[in-house]
Amino acid sequence: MSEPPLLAVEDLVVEFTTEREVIRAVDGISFEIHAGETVGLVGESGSGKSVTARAVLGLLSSPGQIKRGQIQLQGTELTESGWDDHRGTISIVFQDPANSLNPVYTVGDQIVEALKIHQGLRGRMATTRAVELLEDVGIPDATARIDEYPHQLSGGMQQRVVIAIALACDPDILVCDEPTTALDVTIQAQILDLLADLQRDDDLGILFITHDMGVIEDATDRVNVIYAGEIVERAPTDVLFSRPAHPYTRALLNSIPGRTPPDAQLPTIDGEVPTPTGPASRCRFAPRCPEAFAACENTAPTHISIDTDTATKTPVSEEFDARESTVEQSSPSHGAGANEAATRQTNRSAACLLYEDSTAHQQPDSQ
Amino acid sequence: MTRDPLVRVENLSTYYEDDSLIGSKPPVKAVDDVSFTIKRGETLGLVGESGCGKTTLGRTLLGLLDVTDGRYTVDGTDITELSSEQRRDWRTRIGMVFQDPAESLNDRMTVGEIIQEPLTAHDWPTFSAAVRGGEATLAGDVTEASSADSPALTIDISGDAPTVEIRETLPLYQDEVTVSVDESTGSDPSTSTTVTVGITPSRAELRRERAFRLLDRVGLSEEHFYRYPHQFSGGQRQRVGIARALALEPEFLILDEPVSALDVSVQARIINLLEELQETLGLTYLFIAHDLSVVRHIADRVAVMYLGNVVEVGPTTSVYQSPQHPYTVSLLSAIPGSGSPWEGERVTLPGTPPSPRTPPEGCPLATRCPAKIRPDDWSLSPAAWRAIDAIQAVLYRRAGESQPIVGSITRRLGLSGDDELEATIEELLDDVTLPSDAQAVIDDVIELAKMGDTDAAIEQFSSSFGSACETDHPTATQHDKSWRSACHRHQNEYVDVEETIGSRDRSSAAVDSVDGTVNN
Repeated sequence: MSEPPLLAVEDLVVEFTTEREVIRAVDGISFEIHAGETVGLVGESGSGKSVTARAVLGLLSSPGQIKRGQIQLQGTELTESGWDDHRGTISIVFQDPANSLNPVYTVGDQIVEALKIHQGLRGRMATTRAVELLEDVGIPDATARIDEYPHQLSGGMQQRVVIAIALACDPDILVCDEPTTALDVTIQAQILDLLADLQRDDDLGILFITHDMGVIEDATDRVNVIYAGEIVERAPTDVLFSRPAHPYTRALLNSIPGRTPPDAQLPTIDGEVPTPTGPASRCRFAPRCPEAFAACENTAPTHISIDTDTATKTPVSEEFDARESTVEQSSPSHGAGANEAATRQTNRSAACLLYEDSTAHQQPDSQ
Repeated sequence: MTRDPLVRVENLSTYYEDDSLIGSKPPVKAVDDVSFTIKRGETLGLVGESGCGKTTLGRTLLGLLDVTDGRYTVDGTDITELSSEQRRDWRTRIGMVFQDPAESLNDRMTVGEIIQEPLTAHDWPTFSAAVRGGEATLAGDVTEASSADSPALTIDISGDAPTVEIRETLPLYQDEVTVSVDESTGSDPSTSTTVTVGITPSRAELRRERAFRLLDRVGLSEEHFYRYPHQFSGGQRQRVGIARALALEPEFLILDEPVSALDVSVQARIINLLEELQETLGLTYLFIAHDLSVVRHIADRVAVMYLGNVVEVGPTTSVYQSPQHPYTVSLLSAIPGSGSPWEGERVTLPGTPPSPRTPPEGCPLATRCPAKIRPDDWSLSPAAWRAIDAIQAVLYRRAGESQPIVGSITRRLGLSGDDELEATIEELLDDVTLPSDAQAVIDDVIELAKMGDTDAAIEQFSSSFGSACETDHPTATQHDKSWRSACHRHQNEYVDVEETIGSRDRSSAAVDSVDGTVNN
């Protein structure tokens, strides 16, 4: 029996009630995070990624509320017991470090504040620990920098401070909501390296939320692709990139500039991401889906597990094809338990009618 | 004529001066001695980290900022020599698309008003006319076209009845123009012909029509004319921004991070639109971006900027395939995921760029370079060299920050020491044993720094551990007709960049693994 997950989210539904309508920002999302692994949540803006993060941390504010589902943190059901006793177990790193830090307090004060609340450290002890944390996140000359204000630091350094604050409560799970989006590529590379180091040292479980497919490919072990509040595909990262199963994932990957030869037009997805207002009565991607058929308009697809070896593939370019052959040999090495949870972790699944048995013959051929 | 590049930038510098009553600080050298050309119909990608000066360069080329030094010519006209009046006219030939479509559109104006604003500001259209097939004086609603620009109307009076040719971009129809030729007036036979032109629609009507056409051009429809920006999605707003940039029929577009704020699927559509517009309208683009995958897709050539300098410029495919400058290497290797063309280990640059107010004297990258030239005088282990680089970075950072006056006075008088710095340096040298002569230099440096004389400390440090990278500004080496980069390693006496980075990668990996076994 493998270890129970650090965090298990089951059938989570979050709704925002406005005067005009009820918006179902998150609609039945389930995922798990184990110690030492990074789970990605990738999707476009408005798909419900950040709302999921806030719900998991108990940070939803009116009019948003959890309508249904469970959030289990190390076996405790948070939706019943509340978050207050567990704030030290899970922490978050937000997108824009300049907005996450308070401009009128020194960097040291802000780390010490977190240490005071979560660890009960005070005075010299707290300061020493704060310096240690700054050193842990790779800030050179930490003793001098602890007295500096956020504006005296560069964006990358500020994000390191935010990570240091998130680590001050000694969490088991770190939720990173677009942690590198506001940063330059070279600084982004530094932060990704840092997160990987920290994870290795502390066996952190990381939920990595981003819209950047490249970052997902580098930083995560498993990926959940989210569209209009629903997870449409989940798979080990290497498999998702070599053989995407859901038409949305494929379209998303195709629209990344680096994957198409420069002289070719970029493949695009027509239309806009819909805003879900109630339970799905059909596939939400169907109106934009190049592979949709009649049944997609009146059946809401459920997750169907897909055999890793036989899944479809649609090569984008020759370069992409060549890459694939190297990926093919590596098999997913994450989780190996026999219980149901572990099965879900190992297997890949997609919520798409293409993979229903009755329509199996309609699976698109590789071109 | 058309063979010449449309845009030619020679040794261009833009500084931000910072004069105050108490005394002037050195200027911020946002763009420092930059040269490149852009051919007609070509896209030049401009990449670099934030703060490297790419936006300043874009704004300088648009004429929003004054050129400090150097020459900047568009289509043979030296822009730096134009009067402000001339510059205003010239500016209609350049369009700009900004990064954040939510912030660059006025929320209180309808999309129609937004697109028409540049037209109104420049009193568009000017009904300039040229007469062919004979000498004639123009009268009525038109003015004589100057030879430089393409006239709105070309009137041919050689035949029995005069014919009118209307410039394509002008939303004017043949039946809205009346032409009468009168040959009877005047005494001088050579200029006796008068052509009177009447134009039915008002300028306002034409602007409106032009706005409708522009909306259609960028994939929006007539109904959008009456809406406000907040009613649009991010992608649609960027289309409005593009329509506005195209309003005055520019030939050169400066695109400052036009797709950075958009989702990938929307981004793909805007990129396709920009490419389509370039092809049909024959536009020339300067595409400023920090996303190297986007630049790879859209740009014919790419210029890499660091600390106000263009360190490498060349054809996109060549630069991406075999980057020559160490900074380009690190930038390409930092692209996350399989989008990176660099096949080796990721080359992570330590630290952050130095302040453009006090750039390094030698190579701008010297403080962070992964392939910096080591002086031959020392035989140090790779780990020792890395510690020495780290010390240098700390010193530079200290020099860049402003010291409280009291602290720096007491330090200079030897009343208090900078113990933090000493502790930091000792910590950096924790796992390394330096030969005694090298250690002696470090001790001197610490002593100088403790006295508060960071500049002297840096000088002492550089004279011992520095090389050409610290002392000489590298000149550009031409790799190809249109491909050059500026690095000392291009000189024959040094090992080239790729080999250096490769071998340092291996040595650092080896050292790390040794450290690992010791620790375990």
